Amino acid sequence: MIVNVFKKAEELHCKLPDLITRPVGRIMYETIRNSVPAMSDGETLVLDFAGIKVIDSSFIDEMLIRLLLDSVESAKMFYIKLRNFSKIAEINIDLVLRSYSNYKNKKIVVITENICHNNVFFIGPLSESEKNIVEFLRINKSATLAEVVNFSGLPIPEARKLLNELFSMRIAKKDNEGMFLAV
Amino acid sequence: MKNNTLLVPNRFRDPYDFEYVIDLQEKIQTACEELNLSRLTFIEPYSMLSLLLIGRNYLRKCGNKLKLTKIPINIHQYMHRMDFFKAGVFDTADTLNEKLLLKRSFFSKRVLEITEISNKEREGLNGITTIVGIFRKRAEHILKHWLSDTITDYFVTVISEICQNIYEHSLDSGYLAMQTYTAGKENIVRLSIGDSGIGIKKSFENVSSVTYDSPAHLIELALTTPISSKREFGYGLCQVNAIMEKLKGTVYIRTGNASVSALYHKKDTGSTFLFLKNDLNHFDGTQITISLMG
Repeated sequence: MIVNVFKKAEELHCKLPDLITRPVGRIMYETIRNSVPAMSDGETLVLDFAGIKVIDSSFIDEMLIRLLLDSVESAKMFYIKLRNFSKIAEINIDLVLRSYSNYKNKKIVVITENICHNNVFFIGPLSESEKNIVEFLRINKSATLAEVVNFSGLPIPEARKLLNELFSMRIAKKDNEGMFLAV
Repeated sequence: MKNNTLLVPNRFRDPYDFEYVIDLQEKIQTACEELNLSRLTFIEPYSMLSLLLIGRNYLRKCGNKLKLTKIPINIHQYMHRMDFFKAGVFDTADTLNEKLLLKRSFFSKRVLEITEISNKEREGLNGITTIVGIFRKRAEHILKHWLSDTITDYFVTVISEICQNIYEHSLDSGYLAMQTYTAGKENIVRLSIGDSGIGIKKSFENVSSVTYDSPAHLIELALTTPISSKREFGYGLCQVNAIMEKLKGTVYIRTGNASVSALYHKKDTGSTFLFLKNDLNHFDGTQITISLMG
């Protein structure tokens, strides 16, 4: 499912092109969350920020963080991907996700369709090994545990652990046959 | 009975200079009814907002307005142009001839006039949206020495983050002003936001998870870690700090009797370049100013 954030903001009578402050983040979260039940299990929710310039940390905290936590914690399994975000949006999202991860001791990361400033396709804190696996999945679309072990040189238990953690963070998909897929 | 006039020193050049005026606040409140501004040769946005707060504090404490007299014409023109008197906290015997009023033409584009930010969420939100709208229209003039689309977006983030703290934490309304000006050979853009609310220390009074050595240390924590007095995390000041470090600007925060200066334009590597100061004279609320020099 693709959500055009600009269009949603227009419908909500938000002053554009910036989405700032907590109240605006809250109403955007509520609106998008209402779309989640219509998604099929395991579907990716693409948040398209085309036309939006600034999203500040308050908006990110109220909207994106809550959606990311929903994707991890709610009964309905879904994934989130961002696209067409501005440079400042990327910087602000990165700072919020890193702060949250550091102080909560729980990593929170989001996959992106656009390439980010450090040449990766995600925002947030990942280790080098995690980063390589996410990139491997992005390029190959899907991979088995054996393929990831072969590519990364990691011992099987470690590679399995990392893949499962990426799946828990909803930045890698996992099918019924145990195959891992890119979001 | 107060009948004294205080000859205000010419200390309105920057936040450090303005400390001399803050030092006089107690005297102003207890023994003055008139401030003679004849010595002023310059006033920048932070000092102007802080003077406004002094006037508001006086009005609240004494029940009547402080008088401003003998305002030099250029200062009076500037204050009038920045809507200083619109707040209605001062009386002034001096009137400015209409012919001397600064035109709101080209100069208008290099400033954001003093704007009140409400302490109520809905009004505060509307105020921020309006300020951001005006800033976007004038950004190419305000930031003409630093111009890029990104820098405008950085400042929108900063304005939003700092203004939200007013209605989120201060329990009082505040003011914002911004201007580009020249000091010597340097171009300076300065954004100032101040309130007379409860201040950062009191805001964290009941937050046992946040421990600190001194009031200035608490400001440092608020600038460098995502602490919040209201919720699990607060990213606002951290975000402002990170942006100003990236832009090699400066951040000055003063609350109660402490201040922190982050001078990223002088930073190379290693040291944090944060300067903490405690034991200043008390000044209600929180005042923040961020500047870029170039």
